[in-house]
Amino acid sequence: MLTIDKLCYLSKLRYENPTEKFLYAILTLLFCIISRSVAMGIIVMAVNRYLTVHKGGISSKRYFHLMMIPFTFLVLSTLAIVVNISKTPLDAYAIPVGDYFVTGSYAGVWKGVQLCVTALASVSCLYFLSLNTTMTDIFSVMRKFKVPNLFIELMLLIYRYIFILLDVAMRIGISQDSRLGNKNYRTAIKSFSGLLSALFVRAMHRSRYLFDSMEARGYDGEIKVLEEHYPVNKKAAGVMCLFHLVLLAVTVYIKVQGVVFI
Amino acid sequence: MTKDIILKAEDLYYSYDDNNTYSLKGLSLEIERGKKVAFMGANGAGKSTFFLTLNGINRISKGKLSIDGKELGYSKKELIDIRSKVGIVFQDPDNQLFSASVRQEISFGALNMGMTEEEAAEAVDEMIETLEITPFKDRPTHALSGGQKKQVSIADVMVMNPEIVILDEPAAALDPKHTVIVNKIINMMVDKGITVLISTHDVNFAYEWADEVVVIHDGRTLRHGKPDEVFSDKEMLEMTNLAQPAVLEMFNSLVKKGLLAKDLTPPKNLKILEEYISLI
Repeated sequence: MLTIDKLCYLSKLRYENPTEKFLYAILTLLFCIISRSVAMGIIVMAVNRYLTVHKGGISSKRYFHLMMIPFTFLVLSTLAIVVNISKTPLDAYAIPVGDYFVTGSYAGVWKGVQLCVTALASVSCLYFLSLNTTMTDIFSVMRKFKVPNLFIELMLLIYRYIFILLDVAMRIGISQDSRLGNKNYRTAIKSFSGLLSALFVRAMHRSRYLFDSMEARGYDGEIKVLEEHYPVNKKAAGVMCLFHLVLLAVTVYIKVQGVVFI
Repeated sequence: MTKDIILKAEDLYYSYDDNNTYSLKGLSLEIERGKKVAFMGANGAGKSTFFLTLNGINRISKGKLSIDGKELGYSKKELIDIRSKVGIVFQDPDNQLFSASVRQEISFGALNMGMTEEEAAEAVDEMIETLEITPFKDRPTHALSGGQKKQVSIADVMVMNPEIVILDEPAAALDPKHTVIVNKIINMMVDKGITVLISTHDVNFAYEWADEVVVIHDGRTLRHGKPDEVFSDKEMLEMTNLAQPAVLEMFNSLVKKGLLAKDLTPPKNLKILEEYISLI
C-alpha cells in the first residue's frame, strides 16, 4: 500500500493536469463497466499499461506485480460462475467425478471471462490514476468537482496521519519484539492488543496537539490551502476525447444491438 | 529611553482542568522587543503551557497578559490578531504538519490571516527560497527527514510575519547539519527584528545565544536576567537541576587559580576562552 504512494511522486505524469487524468480514468472506467465488452477491456488495459509504464516510467515488472494482486482475487471469485457441479453435463466442458460432473456452460464461461476482464480493466483505470497522481492533486480535483469540504478535509487529515500512525505502530511493534513480546501465540495476542490501545491513546493525543498547532496558525474551522495550478495539456485532452468517443460508440453499439460476445 | 516592552505577563494563572491545580502559578515577566530569550526549566515546569497562553490557545484563568501593549482578549478578531503576531513552532513537527504537500502546508497560516491567493503564493515561495526548502518542496511531508520537517514547520510560522516567534525545543532530535540550518534561520529572524523565545535544555546554547535567560520553576518565573548573571547563581542552578555552562565553569576555575584576570568579561564560547588563554 505504501509503495503505491511512493510511486506516484516519481511518475513522469505527476505534473500533468490532474483534472485531465481524473476524467480520463473515471470515464474509461464507466465505459468498461457499462459495456462489459471483453475486447474493450483488453484495449483499455493495454492503453493504461502503455500510459503508466511507457509515459509514467514505472517499471513493467512492478506494474505486472500490481496487476496480479486483483487478478488473483478475481480468478478465485469467478471460479464460482465458471465451475458448476451437477448430475447433467453442460455444453462447454464436463469432467465426470463419480456420479457427478464438474461442468460449465458456454454462457457461464463467457460471463466469467467477461467479468474478469472488465474488473481488471477497471482496476487498471484506478491504478492509472493512483500511480500517476498525488493524493494532494486528487483533493484539488475533488474541490473542483464541489465535493463537500468536510469530506475533503477529513481525507486530507486521514491521509497525512496514516503515515504517522503506521510509523508509531511500527516503533511500538519493534520495541515489543525486542522485549520478547511475540515469543509465542499468547504473548503475541497480548502484545497486539497492547499495541492497539497504545495507538488509540496516541492518536487521541496527536489530534489534540494538531488542533492546538492549527489553532496557533489561525485555524477557523475551514482548512484553507493554496491550490497548485497545472496547465491543461491540449494535445492529451484531444486524444482523450477521441478515445472516449470511440469507446462511447462501441458501448452504444453493444447496448443497441444487444451483442453479447464482444 | 523607555523600554519597548513587547510582552508583559502579570501574575498569570492557568489550570488545565479548572480544578485549582494550576500549571502556571502567578507567572510574571517582561520582555523587550527584539530580544533573544532562552527559557529554561524542568519538563512540566510550565514553559510549554506559558507559550500556549501567549497566542490564546490556553486561556488564562487569572492575571493579565499584554502583547505589544494590548491586553489579550479572546474575541475572534483579537485571536486572529494575536495569532498573526505570535507564532509558535511546536517541538514535534509531526504534530504541526497536517498536509502532505509542503506548499499547501506553508500556505495555511498565510491564508488564515486573510492574504489573497496571489499574496499567499508569493509569500510561500519566498519562504521556500529563504529557508532552503527548495530541494525537497515537491516531496510529500511524510517522506521528509526530521530536520526537513522542522524547516517546513518554521516556514509555516514565518510566513505569517509574526513579531514574536516561539520555538519549543527546536534542536530536539536534530542532527548537527540541521541544527546549523535551524540556528541560521533563528539568526535570520533576529536580524529581521523578531523577538525570539526559545525553550531549551541546552545550557551551553542558552548561555552563548541568548540576550536574556528566563528560568521557569513550578509555574513561576524563578530567575530572569543576563545569561552570565543567571548562570552564576549556584543556588538557583542546583534547585532547578541545571548545570553551569562548561565555558563559564572553566573560566571560573581559571580565574580562581589566578591564571586569568578577574575583571575579564566571562567568555560566551570556547573560542573566546581560548583567546584569553593564548594571551596569558
